[in-house]
Amino acid sequence: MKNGETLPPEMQKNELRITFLSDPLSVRRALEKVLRELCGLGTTPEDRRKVELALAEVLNNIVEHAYPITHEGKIDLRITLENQQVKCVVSDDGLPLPNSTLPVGHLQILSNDIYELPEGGFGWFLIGELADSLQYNRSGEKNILSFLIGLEKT
Amino acid sequence: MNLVAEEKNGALLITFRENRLDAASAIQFKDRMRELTQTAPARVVLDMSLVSFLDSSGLGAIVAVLKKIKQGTSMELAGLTPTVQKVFHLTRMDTIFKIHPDTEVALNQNHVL
Repeated sequence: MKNGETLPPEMQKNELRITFLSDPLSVRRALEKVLRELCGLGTTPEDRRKVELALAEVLNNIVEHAYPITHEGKIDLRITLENQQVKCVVSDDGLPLPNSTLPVGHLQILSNDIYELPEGGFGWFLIGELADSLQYNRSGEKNILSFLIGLEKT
Repeated sequence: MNLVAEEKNGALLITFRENRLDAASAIQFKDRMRELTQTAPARVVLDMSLVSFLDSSGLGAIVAVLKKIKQGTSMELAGLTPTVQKVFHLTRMDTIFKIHPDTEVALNQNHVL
């Protein structure tokens, strides 16, 4: 950091914390904000690519499944940069994951028949490919999902 | 939803003029693409060079368009940026679609010297 420059309040202690609504456009804005903040902190484009993709899939799941009645609830996102890793903690007050466990995403074998190709079910697989130490906990009425993304050595 | 279609070199070139194909835009994309490809051209080339981000919803929408397109029409992609490439590669969908580095290469396919 240059002399006289300080981190914006949200990014002090290398932590970004934002709260937003569980709709697709709010998710877009949240992702854009995260990416902007990570830009100045020694992350590579590939680092940011992985964070954006993993977060998008996690957040899309919440938008689609956590708040089925109101279709709108809060999402709290905390991003920290430490030990050459980006740590993401996402929490919401919506429905728990089925059986309160993390789904295991699998690489879907793609049929030769175009009409048999899957149009969905890629999300958890992508998260698994991109993120390390994926954890899910239910705490009271909250869902808490966390994961790490290792940064490239620069 | 900015999708522009033009006929070029015997293909229908569709340029997606948005920078994200994600959960927020996947459904509109799918609907608009279906409208544009109703003419059943021999080849559809989708120019993705302006798209810097695609998630699994975006991927699903592209697959859905492929499935709805008339049998015999080839659907090809051009200009995949790194994040888009990453999604196609991780899911192995890059083995399903013909992918060109850019539209110029894609459209010159028919010209064999």
